Amino acid sequence: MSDPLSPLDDVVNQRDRLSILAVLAEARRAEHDYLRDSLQLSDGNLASHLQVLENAGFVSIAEELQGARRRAWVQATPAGRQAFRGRLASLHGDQHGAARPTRPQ
Amino acid sequence: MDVHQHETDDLLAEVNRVRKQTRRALQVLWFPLVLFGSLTLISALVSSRAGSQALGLYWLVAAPLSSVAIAVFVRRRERHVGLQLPVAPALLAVAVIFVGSFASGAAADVLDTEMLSAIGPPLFVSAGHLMFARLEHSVVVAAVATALAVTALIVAVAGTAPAPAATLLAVIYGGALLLTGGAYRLGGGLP
Repeated sequence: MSDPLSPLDDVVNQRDRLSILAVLAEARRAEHDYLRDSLQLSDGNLASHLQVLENAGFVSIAEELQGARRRAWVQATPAGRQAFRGRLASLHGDQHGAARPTRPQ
Repeated sequence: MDVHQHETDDLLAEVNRVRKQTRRALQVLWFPLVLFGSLTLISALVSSRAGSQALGLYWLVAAPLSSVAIAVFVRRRERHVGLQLPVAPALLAVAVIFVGSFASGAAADVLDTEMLSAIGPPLFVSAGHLMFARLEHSVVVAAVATALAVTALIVAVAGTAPAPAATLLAVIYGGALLLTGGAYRLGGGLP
């Protein structure tokens, strides 16, 4: 059950980017440092994944000054949430498709 | 199991792990448990010492103050952890507890059914805590909330007089919520 992937599917197909969207599917928004620490990514890795997701219109990033510290908050856009749900549905479909016994012809 | 299937299972397991971890990252569930537990225990004291009118006044002050306290606590945790979760479900749970409790008290007055005022609020407290449990997917908190609701129904069915029933349930609910919240806080979360 492998449909040809569109470029946008490809964005969420990558494991770390899917995990970022999984965090953002549960949260209103998450800070850059939280994403980095909870997903055990390096700053550079996270930045490049966020760049890809932002370019695809799946996340938006807002910088806010809290006290003396600048914090970058990441939020999934409606398109990002939809892409995540779509990818999840496709994974579940793959799982159930493979689990279903093949009927003898 | 082929390689593709293995990768799919692995990816789904990872997504589920991340989602669960996110829901629990704030670790805020202990606070409403301890707060409502303490307030409920104090309410038993107010009720037995000063009567039902004083109890009404007590909750009229305690309800908004505790809602504000929960909001402030969650906001501080969000800033500390770097994660903001949806607020609507938590607000709904607090509303179910307070609006439901006040409404059942008012309905008891209108219908002249004292038992409703004794078991109505505890049942709404259970319902609210079931909603809290769902937010962090805590089976233990859900089990405690359900056990407390069953206890309230048993007290009602057993035919206990309304006033002692209300005090008894306040002590049971207050103690159970306080203990659960304390265990949650000390254990860094409950399954």
